Amino acid sequence: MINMNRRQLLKTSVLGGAGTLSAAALGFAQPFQPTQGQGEPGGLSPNFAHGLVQAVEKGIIIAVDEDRAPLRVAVNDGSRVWKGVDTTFDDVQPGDFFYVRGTRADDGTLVAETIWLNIVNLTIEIQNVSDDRMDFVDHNGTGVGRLMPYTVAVHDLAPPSRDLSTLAVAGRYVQIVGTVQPDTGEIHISRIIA
Amino acid sequence: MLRRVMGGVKRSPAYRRICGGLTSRCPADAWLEDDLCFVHFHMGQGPDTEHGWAVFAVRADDGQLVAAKKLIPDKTGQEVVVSELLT
Repeated sequence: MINMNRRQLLKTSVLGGAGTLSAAALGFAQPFQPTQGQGEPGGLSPNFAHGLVQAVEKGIIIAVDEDRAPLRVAVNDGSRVWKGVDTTFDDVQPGDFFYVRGTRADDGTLVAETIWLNIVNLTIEIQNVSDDRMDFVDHNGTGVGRLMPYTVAVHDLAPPSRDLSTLAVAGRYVQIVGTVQPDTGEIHISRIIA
Repeated sequence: MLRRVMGGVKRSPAYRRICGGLTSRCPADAWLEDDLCFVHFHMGQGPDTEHGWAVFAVRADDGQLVAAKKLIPDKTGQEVVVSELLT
């Protein structure tokens, strides 16, 4: 019996001929199940949400979504919490905004698989770099980024590098991923992508 | 490179044919293997859309689409029907 992971299955399928695949023949103990589509027709996925943290208590984030509707997110030991770098539930603060992916519990709570706090993803033109400060412009105007001890540069699919010298350069257009600071609006940059 | 690959997918007639039924225009996954980039989408948006997956294989160096299939599980989930999207 052949054991295939999801990527192998998809690769084999797209490069092979049309036809029918058997779950058992491919080594899957469980039937095939699409993971999406269980929401209302035309609606958003029930397994993804974004909101603003109102309060934090014992592994639960009390939040509101963009329509000010209440939203409860459970964070457990299996959840990944990202806030510039991977971190813990203790770093979740009221006032943080977030995107979360997970699964819905029967009571409507979204049990987080991954939650991204204060994440932003911008395409920018770098105006100036000095020490840890990077001034930039994007479609919203000017902004300030901060190069952090954890900032890395990413060139295509090469491994991330701590050498920022080729990307953190005035005049370059780059993509940055980081966290916006609610008090200052500055971006703490996690990744600079060519 | 990701931009080149996604451009190859999203400009293709195969993608345009199914994009209305995708749960998101953002891929669920993309990975590089043997100089081919594979891009995986979930299907199932809308009442008349089949629930399943769409997979595209794109040459990494020039963004040329080389294969595209949709995979739709049958009602039992025991089998999945693979259909050509390039025709």
